Amino acid sequence: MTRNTVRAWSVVHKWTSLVSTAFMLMLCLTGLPLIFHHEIDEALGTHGTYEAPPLGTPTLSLDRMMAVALAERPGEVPLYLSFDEDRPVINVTTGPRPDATNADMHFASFDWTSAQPLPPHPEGGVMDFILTLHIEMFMGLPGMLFLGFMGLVVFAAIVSGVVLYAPFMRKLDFGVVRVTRSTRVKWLDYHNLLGVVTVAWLSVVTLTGTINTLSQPIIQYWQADQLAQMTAPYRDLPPARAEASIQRAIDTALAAAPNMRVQFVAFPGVAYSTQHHYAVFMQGDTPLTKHLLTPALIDARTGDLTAIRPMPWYAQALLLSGPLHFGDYGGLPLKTLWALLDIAAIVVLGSGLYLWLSRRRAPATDPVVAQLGDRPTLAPAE
Amino acid sequence: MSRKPGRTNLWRTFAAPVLILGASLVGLVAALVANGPGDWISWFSLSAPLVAVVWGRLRRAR
Repeated sequence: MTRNTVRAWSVVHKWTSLVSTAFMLMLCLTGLPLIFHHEIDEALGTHGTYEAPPLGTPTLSLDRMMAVALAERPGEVPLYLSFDEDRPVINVTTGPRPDATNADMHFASFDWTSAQPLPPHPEGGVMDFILTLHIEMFMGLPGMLFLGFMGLVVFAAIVSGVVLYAPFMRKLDFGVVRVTRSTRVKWLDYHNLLGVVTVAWLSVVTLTGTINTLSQPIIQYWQADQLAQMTAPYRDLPPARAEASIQRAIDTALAAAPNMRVQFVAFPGVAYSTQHHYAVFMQGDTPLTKHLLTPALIDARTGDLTAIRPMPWYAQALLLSGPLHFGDYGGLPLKTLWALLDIAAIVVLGSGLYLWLSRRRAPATDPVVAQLGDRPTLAPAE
Repeated sequence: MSRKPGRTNLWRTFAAPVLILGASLVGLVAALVANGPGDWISWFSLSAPLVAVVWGRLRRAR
């Protein structure tokens, strides 16, 4: 690597870092409590203290459950029906119209064995605030896409940081932190060490975060692409209402895909379905296939199966980006590692900012710059 | 194999980081593809970056 190459990469590292550090610090700081979102909600009693009966207790017909749920929301239409994994509880999302915005949607949970409504989930708590800040900075889709773009900038900072690691570490063994020199040298060494060990984790969390910000466009593309193909004969029909039995729709879907379990049902007209179908989204039962969904489209008027096809690769990539970003797929130990690596990333950001703020006017007197400048080049080009 | 000084140097610099990167990736994937043993492999492998930092600090600083 020639000196000019090093200089070019260092310009890339400086500017990509400067542009993204403030947002990345916000994301790392808000992300820290979000890793433990579920645990915090439980500790605060946000989920209520409802004791659901054990799994395996006989459950009621889903048609009856939907009737109960809709009776509580006069004038609204069903949007989504989902199932808790660990207890016989169903969740019904309703709204004034099928294309209702998130803000207009209403979410309610019911005991599947008794049709008893669960205590409502309070909204507007501190965790909701942190979550909205983390996802979109209260700016909706533009905020989300902006943060997705920042993810790409951060990834460029990571790559350029790895390249710069080589000239900085030419004379140093891995893991050495020179604490007896200046404060600046000490923090340079910490920055390099923590930066290089978190490369894989931070890259994965950054890039999956970027993919997550694209969830709306990705689902819209899937709807226009595959969903439209699967339901081509319906194209010119007027929108259907949810008339067919939802219980029968689910039974039909499960018969077409044995060994799968229903994760959620999207009702006609919502983003995950068509104007004419119940989209029954089924998941596999291994940790990997649990995140990969296969929708069965059931005619909402007749209850017959129209088509069943696994989600395409781009939607599967989105589905896998969820767990790989949240770190919620390996119990509390994995979440703890996620938190520690997040803290390491915060130190990398903070030390990087410090190194930039404390830079010297005259490069020759700066031990950090001098380290790069006055020695022969690292690996000469072939 | 030719032993260019530059290349040896680069390998020396990146040997540990590459091992940690590999371990991290194994750790990120293991719990996703299998429960039980997969979880344990994840916890173990994804600890590599943190273990490396502690190990680096315990070595005498120059």
